[in-house]
Amino acid sequence: MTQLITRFPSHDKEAPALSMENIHLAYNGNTVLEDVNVRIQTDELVAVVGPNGAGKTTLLKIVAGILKPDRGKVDIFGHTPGGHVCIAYVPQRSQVDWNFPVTVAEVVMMGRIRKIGPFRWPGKNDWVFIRQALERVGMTEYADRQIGELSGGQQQRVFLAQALAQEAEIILLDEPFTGLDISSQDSILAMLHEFKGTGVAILVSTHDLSLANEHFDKVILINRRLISFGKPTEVFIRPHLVEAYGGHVHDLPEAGGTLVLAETCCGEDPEGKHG
Amino acid sequence: MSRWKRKSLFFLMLIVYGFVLAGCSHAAANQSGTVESLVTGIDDLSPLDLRDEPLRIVVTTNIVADVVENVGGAAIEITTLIPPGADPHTFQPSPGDLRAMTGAHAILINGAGLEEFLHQTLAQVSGEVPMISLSEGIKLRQFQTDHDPDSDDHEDHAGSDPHVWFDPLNVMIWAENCAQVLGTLDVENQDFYTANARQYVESLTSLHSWIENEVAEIPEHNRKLVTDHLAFGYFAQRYGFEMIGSVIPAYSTAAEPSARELADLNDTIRAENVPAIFVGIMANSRLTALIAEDTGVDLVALYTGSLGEPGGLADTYIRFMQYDVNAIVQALAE
Amino acid sequence: MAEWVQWLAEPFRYEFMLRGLWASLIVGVVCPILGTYVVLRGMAFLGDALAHIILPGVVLAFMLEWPLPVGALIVGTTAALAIGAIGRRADIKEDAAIGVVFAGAFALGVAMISVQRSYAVDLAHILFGNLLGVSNADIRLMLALGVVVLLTIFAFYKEFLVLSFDPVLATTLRLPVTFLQNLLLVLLAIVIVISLQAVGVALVLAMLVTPASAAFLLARRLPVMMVLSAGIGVLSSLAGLYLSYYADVVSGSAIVLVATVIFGIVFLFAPRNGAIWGLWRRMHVRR
Repeated sequence: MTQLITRFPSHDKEAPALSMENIHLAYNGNTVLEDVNVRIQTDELVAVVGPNGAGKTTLLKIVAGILKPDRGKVDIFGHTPGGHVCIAYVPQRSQVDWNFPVTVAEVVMMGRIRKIGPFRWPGKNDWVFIRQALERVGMTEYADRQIGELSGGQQQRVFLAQALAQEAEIILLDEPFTGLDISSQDSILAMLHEFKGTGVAILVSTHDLSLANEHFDKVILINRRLISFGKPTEVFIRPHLVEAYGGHVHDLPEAGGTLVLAETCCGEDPEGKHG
Repeated sequence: MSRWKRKSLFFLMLIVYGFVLAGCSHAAANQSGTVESLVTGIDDLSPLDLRDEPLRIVVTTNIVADVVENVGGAAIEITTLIPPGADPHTFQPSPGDLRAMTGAHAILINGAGLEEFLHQTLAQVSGEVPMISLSEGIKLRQFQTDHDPDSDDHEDHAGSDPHVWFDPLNVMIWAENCAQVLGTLDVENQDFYTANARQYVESLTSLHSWIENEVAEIPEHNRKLVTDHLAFGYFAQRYGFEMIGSVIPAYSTAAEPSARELADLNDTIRAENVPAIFVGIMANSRLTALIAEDTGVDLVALYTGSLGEPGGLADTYIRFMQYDVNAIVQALAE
Repeated sequence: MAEWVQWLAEPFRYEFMLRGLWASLIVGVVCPILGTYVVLRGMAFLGDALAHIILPGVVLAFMLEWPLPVGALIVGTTAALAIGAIGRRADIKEDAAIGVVFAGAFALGVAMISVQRSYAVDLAHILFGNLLGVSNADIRLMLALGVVVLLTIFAFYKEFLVLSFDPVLATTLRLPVTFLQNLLLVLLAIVIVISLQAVGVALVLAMLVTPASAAFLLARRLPVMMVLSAGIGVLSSLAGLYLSYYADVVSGSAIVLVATVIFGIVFLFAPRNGAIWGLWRRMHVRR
């Protein structure tokens, strides 16, 4: 139960940033996620991949503490997610109300709400954090724009800045690359790599397997249950992909080996609608 | 943007709905359609074969009930629709009331437009049971105003004043009509009814003289009535008073005054220097109380549309009039 | 020059108009400010439902001879919290559930009135307001409640901002979401009680939603939206009162009329968002 004044649990230095054991969640009688066992350390950049409806958003929301699993244990630095304010969840862009009358700076400021505390307004210190966050994502000139006026890539960066202002140690991004052009994708990726080195663990869900393969330290491959977790070379092997994507896997012979192609589709993640 | 456009349109529709309702509020308070068309003339009645049953009469207001009781005595059974203290202008009958009406031999109403709001209910019943207006033959006062009669019309009432009972001479006509009705329907007891009526008319005559004497104590310049609604027209006419204003400038309590009408009333009260405003005891007197406070005059409660509780100060018509006249004289005499 | 000054001043020579002015100004400020949350969070139906649910509370207070706002407040806050609880159950369709309670409560109120047999006029007052019959005690109560509401909004400004923008974000940031949602609903109930006298149950939705909707089309930031809402609310109250005085229109409806007209103008002509500009832009693009 969250209260108005919460003690933030102190982080257990020995514990991994995130540990999920035997996670199981059912919704309306259907199992949405099961058998999820992962351990993630700080300074790791991890991709969560799987087909539509695999439970990627659900997994992220369990880590964030928005959803509670029916069975299993989630540990953030040795404690349960609730009460931790160091987790930032960046939603899919389609889930955000871009018409809301709020500016870029105000969205970033929202990240600091627990640090500011109840009944107080942002202080000088808070504004320093907000300005720094905006600088690190390169959105300083857009501070006073209403968020609906931004491009897709810029919108993503605003929420990243929010996570930074929150001083988050775990950042979860739900399909940040969907709908972005290559250069925007690249700049987001560059930023994620930058943040990774500053004591932050980052989980990113994506459809794009080649992206996951090339840019991420670890991959979590799921399709309603954990299929594989580890380095991309360990995870992206044919049997795993078949298990995850079923008939959408094609073998293409090429010089020096076989190219395995998986249709991962794109578009809106239906899980985003509920949960 | 289109999502918001749709929502905005939705809001617009809601507001329109609100206006329709607002319009209905006035319409609902005034059921037009005349009860007069449902009424049977007294001369058109024919005798009933009662077979030793007492005559069962249903009446609308308890003032009518009192008069009918005085004429009918023990020979009849009376059921009254509107309970003591209820506002006749806005009374809503229940299904039980309808049952009583269909089981009666005759329905006696005040008439003169008082029961207009009951039009639909009465229409259902009047086919089977004769309905007679006690005010048949009374010369009615018409709605008069110095505003343009076509503008600020808040009510659709046919413009006649239904509060005929405030003039005892009208009630004498009621008693005579009643004797004729009861006598025609119940021929056996005809003489009984006629004798009772004559006796009652005598009491009413004494009442009338008494009122004339009492009212004489009020100096000319104070014979002004400011009331919550235009109930005292016949009284004013008979005893020489002037109705200089009312909070609701209509014959029914169901109407609403506009800001301008209230402003005019404030001005009138101040200009005419009246000592008191008179308000119906069971009426919603909040607005009237505020006006009294604003203008610094006394607020005096009177019985208007209904007798008081049985055993109380105004449980018969004659005591009702005595109470009101005493209150008026006390407030206005110096 | 002096003539139109006199024209402006004339209605307010009368105390009852001054009292009506105070009451409608309070409503014109407090309702639209809370209304920004109602509009942004899609709570319009809920607001309308709450307003109608309050009816049996008012009738009960009348029957027990309590001050009417007390009955309204008790039933209003209870209903608000109950609706909040219903809304949090994921399986019940929220708007249907609210509809059931809404209709049932309103029918109960009307039934209670019919048992009373002599309350019909006051039903009209509850539904459409009785602005001209407002007393000084009423105004003091409205002012006190209004101040409470505004102070609460001020105190919880950033929390309500996050909650309205994205409830999921509020959860991630570990805000006490249930408490805040309930608080907002209770504020809504209080605001409805404040508005009963001025515009009544049937039209309070308009004061909650219309000025704020107009402000939404004009503002890019929430504080600006709130200030604009309140401004439009005040303007509507003032103009509505003049309309009611000089054109003999019932005051509550006059105020809502003006607010709606203002909305219509903004809807058509707002810079960037107005319908007229949209049309114009489309025509130009075709060339």
